Amino acid sequence: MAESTIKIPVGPQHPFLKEPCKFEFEISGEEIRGAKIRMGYNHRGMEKACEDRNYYQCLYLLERICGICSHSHTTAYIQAVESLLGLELPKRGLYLRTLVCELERLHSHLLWLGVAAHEVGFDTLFMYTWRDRELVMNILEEISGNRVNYAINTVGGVRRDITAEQRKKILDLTKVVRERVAYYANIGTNEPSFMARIQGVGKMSTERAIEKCAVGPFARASNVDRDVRRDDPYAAYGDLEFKVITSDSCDILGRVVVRVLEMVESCKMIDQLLDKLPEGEIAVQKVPRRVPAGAAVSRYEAPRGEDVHYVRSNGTDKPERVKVRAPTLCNLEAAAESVVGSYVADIPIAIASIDPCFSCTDRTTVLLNDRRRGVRMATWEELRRHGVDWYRQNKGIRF
Amino acid sequence: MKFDYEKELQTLFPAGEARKTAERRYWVNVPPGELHDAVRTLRGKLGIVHLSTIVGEDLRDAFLNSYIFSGEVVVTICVRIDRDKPEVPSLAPVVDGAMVYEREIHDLLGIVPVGHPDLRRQILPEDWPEGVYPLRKDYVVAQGPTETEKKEEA
Repeated sequence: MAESTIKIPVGPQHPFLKEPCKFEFEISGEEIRGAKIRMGYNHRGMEKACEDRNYYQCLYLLERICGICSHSHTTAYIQAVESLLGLELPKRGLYLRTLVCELERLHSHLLWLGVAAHEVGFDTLFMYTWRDRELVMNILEEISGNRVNYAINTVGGVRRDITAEQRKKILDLTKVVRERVAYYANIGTNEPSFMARIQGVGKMSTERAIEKCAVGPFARASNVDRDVRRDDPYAAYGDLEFKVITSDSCDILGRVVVRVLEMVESCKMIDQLLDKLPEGEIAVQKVPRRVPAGAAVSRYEAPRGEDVHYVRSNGTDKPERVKVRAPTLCNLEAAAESVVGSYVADIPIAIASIDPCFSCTDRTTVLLNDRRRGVRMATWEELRRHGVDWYRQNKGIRF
Repeated sequence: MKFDYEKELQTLFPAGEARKTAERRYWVNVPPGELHDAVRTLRGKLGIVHLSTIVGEDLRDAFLNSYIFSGEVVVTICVRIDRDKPEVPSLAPVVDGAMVYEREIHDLLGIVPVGHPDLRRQILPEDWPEGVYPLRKDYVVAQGPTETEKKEEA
């Protein structure tokens, strides 16, 4: 008798991730026999929109592709433009750009670790990692002025320099992050309830990962030794010493280990960058508006893997074609394949294990009754009375 | 001694005008019929296995598919496609990862990868009209009223 299977649709609204994507799983009992993906719910036509904008406007548009790896997309794009212009960038600019790259990787990996923990019901770890992520976000805000879309890149360099005080703050941060990461490495590989959910789940063999053209930590956890930072060094990576972390366990445990150890490498790189930070200009002073005709391919190792931008110029101040290939696109199909054979309950963590992008742009600052800074919370009635009194005293208006 | 990719590509693809544009960036032209062989040569002889992406674009007089392969260096295989008969052999039977990129190009530019095993829609919505391809240069984005204009009208 032929085995009967049932198809269940998951999504497109919030399919265990805060990102629209539709999955169709074919299940038999509790076991998954097949998976299909339908993307495109977030398609905003940015590639077409780029054709109507000049190179600088495109930069700010592309920054908004993603709320987590915004720096990745601008750097990948800008490297293609700079290569078409034939610009020689000042060293200090390249170092600062790389610094933000690695800080971004730190915050992204901490975010992912929290999400992964949340997906298996380990919310304590989720709270811990997101608290630590705040430290990185604060530093990013301090050096760039923004928490999410840093806007630090510009054609020919970066827009802001760092001060000696900020340098010290970043060095203090890497010390703290290293301590915390050691703690997470211990939990991630020893905590029995966590291990039971991730070990041997979501298997992806090395051969399939290569054939599916998987990238980033997902591929490296399947023992594919591939990292753009080493293989195709850009910005300041040629001057840095670091290890490419791989794991041969080919499961979600491997993906946790790879990302956790990558954070240690990032801390090392940040220390080296600040140690060697050269003096001088941070950007090329005069950049031509028109870009000579040609085509360029730029690769960048985003926190989620290889990010590819392709720019074709036509000699004007607007690009002819901008193509963006984000890392999640090549990993998503592979992730769907990796859940085949496991149980329905493993779907969220298996899909989340590739770290699909979702935005984290919301934030508010609330200062409640902070007397030290003279900030006090007022009720609506108090505010109204204050307004009436102020206008009576200062403007002579009587209500 | 460093391996000379430019020379090697010129011998492997005599008619391909192999050229180097920047550090570790190589380009080669290939006619549509020879795409599969070219990719096999690239993966087999030069060990450049990873397909980074496929870029489809409208050159106005023709379409161009650029297959970006990366390994030690980045080699882009450019295939010019007739605008009146936009067909190109699908790369999916040779490289599994090509599937998603070909679907995307089919959606946005209407270039048909012949022999693609699963050519469903990937990016455009289900109710998008057939035969309209937004990334072609003759497709004009409809300009609706801006937010301020809407307010002024109301």
